[in-house]
Amino acid sequence: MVNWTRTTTEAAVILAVAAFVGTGANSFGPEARRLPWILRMEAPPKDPSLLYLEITGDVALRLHRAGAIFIDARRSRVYEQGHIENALSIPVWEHDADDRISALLAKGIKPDMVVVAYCSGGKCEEAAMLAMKLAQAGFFNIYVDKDGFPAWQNKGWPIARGRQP
Amino acid sequence: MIRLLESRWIPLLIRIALGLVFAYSSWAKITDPPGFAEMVWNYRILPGYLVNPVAIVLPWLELLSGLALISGFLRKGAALLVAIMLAIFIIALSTDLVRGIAIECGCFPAAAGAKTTSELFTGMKLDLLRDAGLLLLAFQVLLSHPAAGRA
Repeated sequence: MVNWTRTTTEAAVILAVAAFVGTGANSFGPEARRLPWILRMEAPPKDPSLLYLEITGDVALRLHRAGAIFIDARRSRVYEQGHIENALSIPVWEHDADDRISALLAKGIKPDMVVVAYCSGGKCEEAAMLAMKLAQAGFFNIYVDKDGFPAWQNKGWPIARGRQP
Repeated sequence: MIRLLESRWIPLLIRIALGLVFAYSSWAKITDPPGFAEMVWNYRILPGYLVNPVAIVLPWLELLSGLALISGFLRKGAALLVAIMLAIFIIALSTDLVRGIAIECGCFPAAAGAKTTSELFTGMKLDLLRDAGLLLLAFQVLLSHPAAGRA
């Protein structure tokens, strides 16, 4: 036999404390661990070709040599462990992704410039989600490197480590 | 054997084991909310506006319920919450198995490295079995006599 009144009251107390502590941790915890309460994220459409083009690693390499802007959509600590040389970091799941996109425009990067987004290859979706955000911000020469960083690294193409300067 | 099963230590052990599982599994999510939000998103079940609130609160709910089960303080309420969470996890995993969406469970810290789709599906089925077993333990704590498992 269960005393349901007491049990549900206890459960409500634990839930309330969890909501309180979770909110506190999200407001005052380390920057890289915070989340906005409202997620602004769009799933990539079935046919994304009107917004961005998917390319393979070797096409991405040619764009890299031609001076295209590369953007790493993976988490910031993964970026620090290694990224495509000169790539900027916009971790699409971290709370300041939208601010970092606005900062691109403020830095003098123009919406018509060629930008290449990438993540970790395979089934990773961060690059596609970043491409959606870039398209919303007005960029219209967006490419997504489907092969991603692991393939780039395996080919021995130029990489760098550490934080974004 | 019967005597072993009747031991008054069994309910206590079950409660503490269940608490340890939840407290342990919460930690990776508490230290990486954006990563957990991505996993919740990948389930493709919750509407977008619920993803982040869940990623902010659920890990703490797991930790506090786990600690309550370990300590015995508010243990019935914690057992109810754990049972509800497990039921939700089971529904979420089965929904995606039926829809053919291969995902990382996100229940425990996962080993690094890309997995193939069939590896993911096998993992999801094992996760379902594990959650069902844990749900039985949660029912045991929830329905046991109030005096049972008192340390």
